[in-house]
Amino acid sequence: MIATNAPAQAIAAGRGRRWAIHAAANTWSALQGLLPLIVLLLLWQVLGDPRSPYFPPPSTWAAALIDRTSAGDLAPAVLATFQSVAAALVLATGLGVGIGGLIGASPALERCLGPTLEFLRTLPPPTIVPVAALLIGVNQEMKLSVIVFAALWPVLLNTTSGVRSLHPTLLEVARSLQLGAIAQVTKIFLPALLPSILTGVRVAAPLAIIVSLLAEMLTLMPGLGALLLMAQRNFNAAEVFGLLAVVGSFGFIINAVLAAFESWALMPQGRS
Amino acid sequence: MTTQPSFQCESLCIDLPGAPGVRRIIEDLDLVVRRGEFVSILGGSGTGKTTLLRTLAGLTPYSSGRAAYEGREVRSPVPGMAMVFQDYGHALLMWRTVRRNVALGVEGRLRDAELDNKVQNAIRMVGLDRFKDEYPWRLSGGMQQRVQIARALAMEPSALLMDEPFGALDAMTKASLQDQLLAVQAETGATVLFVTHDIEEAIYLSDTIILLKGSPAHIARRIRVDLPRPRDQIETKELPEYLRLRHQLYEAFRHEIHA
Ligand SMILES: Nc1ncnc2c1ncn2[C@@H]1O[C@H](COP(=O)(O)OP(=O)(O)O)[C@@H](O)[C@H]1O
Ligand SMILES: [Mg+2]
Repeated sequence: MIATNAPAQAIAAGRGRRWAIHAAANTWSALQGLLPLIVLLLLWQVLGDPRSPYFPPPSTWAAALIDRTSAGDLAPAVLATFQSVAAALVLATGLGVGIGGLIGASPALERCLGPTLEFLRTLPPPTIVPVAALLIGVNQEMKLSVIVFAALWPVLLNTTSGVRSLHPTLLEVARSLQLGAIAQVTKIFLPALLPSILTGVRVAAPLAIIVSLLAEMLTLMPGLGALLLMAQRNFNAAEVFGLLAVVGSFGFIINAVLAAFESWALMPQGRS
Repeated sequence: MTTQPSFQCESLCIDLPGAPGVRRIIEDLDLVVRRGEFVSILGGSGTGKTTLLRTLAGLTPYSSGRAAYEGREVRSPVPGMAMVFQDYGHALLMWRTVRRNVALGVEGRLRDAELDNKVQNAIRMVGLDRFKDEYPWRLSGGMQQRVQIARALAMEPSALLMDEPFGALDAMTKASLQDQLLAVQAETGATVLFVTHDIEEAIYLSDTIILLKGSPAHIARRIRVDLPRPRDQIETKELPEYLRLRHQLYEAFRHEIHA
């Protein structure tokens, strides 16, 4: 690595600033896109009947959520779901990039593993939950495994096709520079695959959220899914809607963070 | 001082896989390249120039005969050689600045100060000082190719292998890069193997031109270029010897086209 100096820092600062402008513009346009939803909620608030057992207006949701928060349920649930989703995404990315990279690089491996992976991929994740619960038990490891199982495929498939579409010249450059195997991977292949990998992660994130909520609902392990199910069982419509809004914002924020990370990470490649 | 040649091929045969089975691309090729010599490999498209160069670079295996670099058989890329590819767009790492692209081949092996020094020097040789913190995708084609050449130079190679490095550039850029290459070679004393299909470029740059012909390809001619150095885009190209070589080579190609 070259010692950093003033121009390099200036470039880095420039990158940071340009990216911040970019991110602010993105956030603004996303908020603009949410305008119809906001209008709908306002109308609901104004026209809705606060005593309706099925369609209580948003202010009652807020009250229900405040109740949950002061009971000390909401924050831990959000945290539990977030931790599962984040940990599973990290694991799924590591596994997906590793396995996908090897399969993309080796046609022999592809022949060996291809059909098996294809079979596993078509199993709907919800059906995995009972099996995993039997095999692993109802615990954090089981939840994590099930989410990883669902989130793995987009990363894996994107990495495989990314490896296959690496330009032959890039492979020759790696060889002719006589970099070691590790240096080839970290300096050339991983950065070159980064756009494919990040696309995979962005597809995987909503899947991870879905499966996490599902596992929580099916097993009542701590998390937003379990809270939702309890609220429904108690016929607490306001709380169900409130939690739904929380789940929606949860997914929205995770996606926005990933999008921002992607645009930051790909900025040097001129691709964001 | 040994008289060990830089490159040596004896009865070199190269086969590549093709639709009906293996196809012989290069047959029975003998070649000796002196240290510090500038040799152009000239031939029509598809004759096997790239294949020959890649074999000498250790990137493509050969079937029989011998290919050696500084007395050792070439079976894989060896230290001391640096390759410059034609499609700079795919040979550079677009996520690294010019400076870090140039450092790529040497950064693991040197201390920071020494590395900085080598990288700066290589960037200076190709005249890119002003752009060293820029990303390659913001540079013109000619500048990107200079980055690739600087990356090779930073490795301080004793041999530079170049595959139509200026083939995708416009005439002005091409002429300026040719002069830069000659200056760099004079400064470093590196052996250069230069693949091209451009007759005038081959004459202008080389000490020796190898004319590849046929399928499978063999060396149809070896032409010594006795033009004084340093060369000059205007004066060298007006010398009677230059015009004679130019005539001779176009003549040789005309026969190939008619064959
Ligand atoms: N990777 C390859 N596998 C099989 N055949 C190849 C490969 N690359 C080139 N060839 C064939 O080898 C011949 C010589 O190609 P090449 O060395 O690229 O020619 P040149 O560089 O002189 O244009 C061509 O007929 C081409 O079709
Ligand atoms: Mg070629």
